[in-house]
Amino acid sequence: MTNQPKPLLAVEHLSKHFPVRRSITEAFHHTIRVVKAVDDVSFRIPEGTTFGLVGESGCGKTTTSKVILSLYKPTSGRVLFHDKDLNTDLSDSERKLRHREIQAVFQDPAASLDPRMTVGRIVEEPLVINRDGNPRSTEDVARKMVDAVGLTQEQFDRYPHELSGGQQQRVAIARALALNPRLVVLDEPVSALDMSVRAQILNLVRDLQSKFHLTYLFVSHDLSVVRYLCDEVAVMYLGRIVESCGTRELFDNPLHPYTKALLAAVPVPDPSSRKTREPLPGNVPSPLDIPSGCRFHTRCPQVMEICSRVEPELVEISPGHLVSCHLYDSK
Amino acid sequence: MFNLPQESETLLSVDDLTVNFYLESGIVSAINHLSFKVNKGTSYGIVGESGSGKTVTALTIMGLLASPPGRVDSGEILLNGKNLLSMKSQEMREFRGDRITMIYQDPMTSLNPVLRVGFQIAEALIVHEGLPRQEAESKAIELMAATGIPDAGKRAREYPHQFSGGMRQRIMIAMALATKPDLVIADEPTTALDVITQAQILDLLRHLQREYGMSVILITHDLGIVAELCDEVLVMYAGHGLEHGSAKEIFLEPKHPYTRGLLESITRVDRDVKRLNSIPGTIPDMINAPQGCRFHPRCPRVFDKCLRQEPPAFKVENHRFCKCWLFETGKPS
Amino acid sequence: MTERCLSGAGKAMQLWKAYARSKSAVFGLVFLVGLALAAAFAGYIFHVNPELPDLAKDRVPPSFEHWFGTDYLGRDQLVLIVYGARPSLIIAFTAGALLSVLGTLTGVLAGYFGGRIDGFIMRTADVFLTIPTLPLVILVVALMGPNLFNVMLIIGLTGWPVMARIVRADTLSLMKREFIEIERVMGASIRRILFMHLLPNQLNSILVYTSLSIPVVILTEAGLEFLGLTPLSISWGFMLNTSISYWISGAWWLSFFPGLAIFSTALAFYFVSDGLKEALNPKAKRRRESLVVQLATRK
Repeated sequence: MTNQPKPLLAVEHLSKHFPVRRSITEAFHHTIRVVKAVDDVSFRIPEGTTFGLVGESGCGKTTTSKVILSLYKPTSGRVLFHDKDLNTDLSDSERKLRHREIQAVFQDPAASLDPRMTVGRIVEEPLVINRDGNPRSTEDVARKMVDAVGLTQEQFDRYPHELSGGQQQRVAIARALALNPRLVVLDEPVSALDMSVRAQILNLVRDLQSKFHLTYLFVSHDLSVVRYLCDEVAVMYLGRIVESCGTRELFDNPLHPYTKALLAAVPVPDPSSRKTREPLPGNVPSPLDIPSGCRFHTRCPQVMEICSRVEPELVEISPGHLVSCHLYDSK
Repeated sequence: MFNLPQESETLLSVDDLTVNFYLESGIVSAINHLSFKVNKGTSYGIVGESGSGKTVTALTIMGLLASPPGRVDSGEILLNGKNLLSMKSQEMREFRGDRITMIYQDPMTSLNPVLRVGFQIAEALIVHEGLPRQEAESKAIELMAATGIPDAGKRAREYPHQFSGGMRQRIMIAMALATKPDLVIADEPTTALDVITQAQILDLLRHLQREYGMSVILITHDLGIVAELCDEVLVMYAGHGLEHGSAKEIFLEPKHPYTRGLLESITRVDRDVKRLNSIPGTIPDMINAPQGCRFHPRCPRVFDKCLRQEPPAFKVENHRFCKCWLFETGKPS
Repeated sequence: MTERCLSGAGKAMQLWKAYARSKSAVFGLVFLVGLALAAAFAGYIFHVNPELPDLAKDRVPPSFEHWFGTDYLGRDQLVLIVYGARPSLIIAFTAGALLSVLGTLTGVLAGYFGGRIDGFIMRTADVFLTIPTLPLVILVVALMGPNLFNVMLIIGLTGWPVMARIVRADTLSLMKREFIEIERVMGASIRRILFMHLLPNQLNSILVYTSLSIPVVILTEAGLEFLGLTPLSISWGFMLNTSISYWISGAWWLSFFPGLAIFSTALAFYFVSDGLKEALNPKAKRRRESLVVQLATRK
């Protein structure tokens, strides 16, 4: 981990807490309840790679990505982009620069596009907002992007509702790339699409990465897509990273019991490998009521006495492979 | 898997079913000459993407098709020999919720938020089996326990919003099993759930099916779920049943180019995929469906007959069929 | 062929074409324009002083000489209606515009910012809702004298809360859609998000509610007229109100024609706003279909 080139994005001890409105009785007792959506999360994304953030709903992956997109301010911790903290007071020009360099594609393609704007206008929007050239040049750039994502020039003048889900998602991608960003956050970009279209979009995303030298933060609950797309993966549970390593390593040699349970739970399209083991029981605890010690201890099949008392640290067990679990406490 | 050694009896037989929607903007051909059989005690998977007609099929079997604008233009649906489509609505109402039940996709909206959960389960027993309320409610508690809800006696008195998504789906399952139906239709029962919860529910469905011995039609777009749970599989696309076979056959020897394309285009957890082979194009508009075979604009093996005529279902190896001109002689050409 | 190639005039032409597709929309527009012109040039059309009583012709039913009959002062009602269009249209437009603009702005700000700002705006709206319009007007008139401008102001100021609620609700539901978040990621200013993205997507509600509030405005003004709080003596509302006491005498035309005028104007406003709504809707070609069919046709 030493002597590595500076990563494009580095998240350091990031926490994001949301206060919950108090009931009258709670106000009387001076209790402030907080949802610790993200709690002390750290990771780095090297330039040109795809980093996956995986977990079930409520694990904090989407909140983390929103902090990186500056939609939320961190409660504590830092987000460093090109080694500069994104949240210390930026000058106007620095803020503009940030907008150009980090963009996003979200899950529901129909909801990510303004229904009153044509495709061309939608793709031009980031250029217009950032005053990037005159109307003629912005149109040129927009047309090029529309082409790059596999849409026709005829579709340039169509409205979103005239396109299919896959085509709409292409528009969203074109828009995200219009400003030539360095980092693109992809939050479940194919979950809302039909199966026969997913592969098209996934391949497109991959191809664009090499064409435009992009770095991706890929947020998803779908482990199979993560396997296809990501170079490194971090598994999150209740606001923390429980395991983080290279993709191949995660699937070949998962260490954390939660990761193992997740992998075992995914249905595989192969009738001969039907599940033999029971799935993990129980539900994810409420983020308002996070278990003591290791957050996963209430459901862990390999729970030990120490797990309910002490929260394990995220420790590097083997090069590049970090786990937060007492099973791997060095003696 | 509960495998009867003797011949499996047919429970449900859908024969040449055609359903169209008559709209101002045109006629939507939602289901086109669909035929399939579900045997007793088996788990039958219907796989398809949006527009494939899988949900409309479920609704038609349940008798819940919105009748204008929808209309059954041909075919029969026989359950134990009785044609469901020719039943009067009173008769169908007695069948529905009793002999055939349904589990819906979204547990958040499928339960009545102002009624206690135990009562909602008991309702089916009160209406269809005429049980008195007390008895029905205690049966409901048993059912809740059978579907893995801890502390069922206490929780039966709670309201839907007090349960998590996975728990609510268990409640839906309990409701669907209350009357010991012959057939349960599960329409995307786990799509709205997290990975681990999904595994729990699928596991539950598998156990319950073995225990109760009913037939299950599982409708899904997820090939993994189909492989996991289903004995037989029907692949639907744009209102047509393109291919049918046992789960093993479909996954190991897919015949139809669509099925093949699909299998080559999905991401996998269990192995590394170098490059996905995507199916080009998009799902057709159902008002202006393509002429001839509906899949032909996207098919890698298209030839001119495909553009002109819709293929019928060709018999391929015993009980399998495939709607593709490549199989006109029963063997691939 | 692309949108951007059109100049302002070209865009107006395109809008007109889309608008003109609806016969009722065109009819409504023609009616309103005609009415406005007639009201404006009433003096040239009729060479009579509308206010001059002629007690000999007290309550003459509609006839060839007096198409709409005469009122209890013997004045020709047709003339009165046309002259009366002036205050009614002026007030309808200005008060309507005022409450629309106020309600829209406050609603969208409340919806967008949420939190304290939302709380403040909505509580203020609640306060305004509890203020009864007429006593407030009486108070203002007592303090500042009867004045058409004041009247319009008051109607506008007391009418905005309902619009604010509607716009706030629409804004909240739009905010859930991801395109607003992406605008922020792209660096859009708040002004841009509000005026180019949130409000345009709410034109439906705004237009509909504005057109629905027009008759309410006209009738509120009627009540004020009746109390003598405005400097006018001729308006539809006034005619309508004073006609009630004459029902017993069977003079139905005293109520009928002013009522018809209010009704027609409100309907015309509605047609116009409906036409605008359709013309501005990019989805105009497709009809709404049921969920099941949407599932059957496309995702």
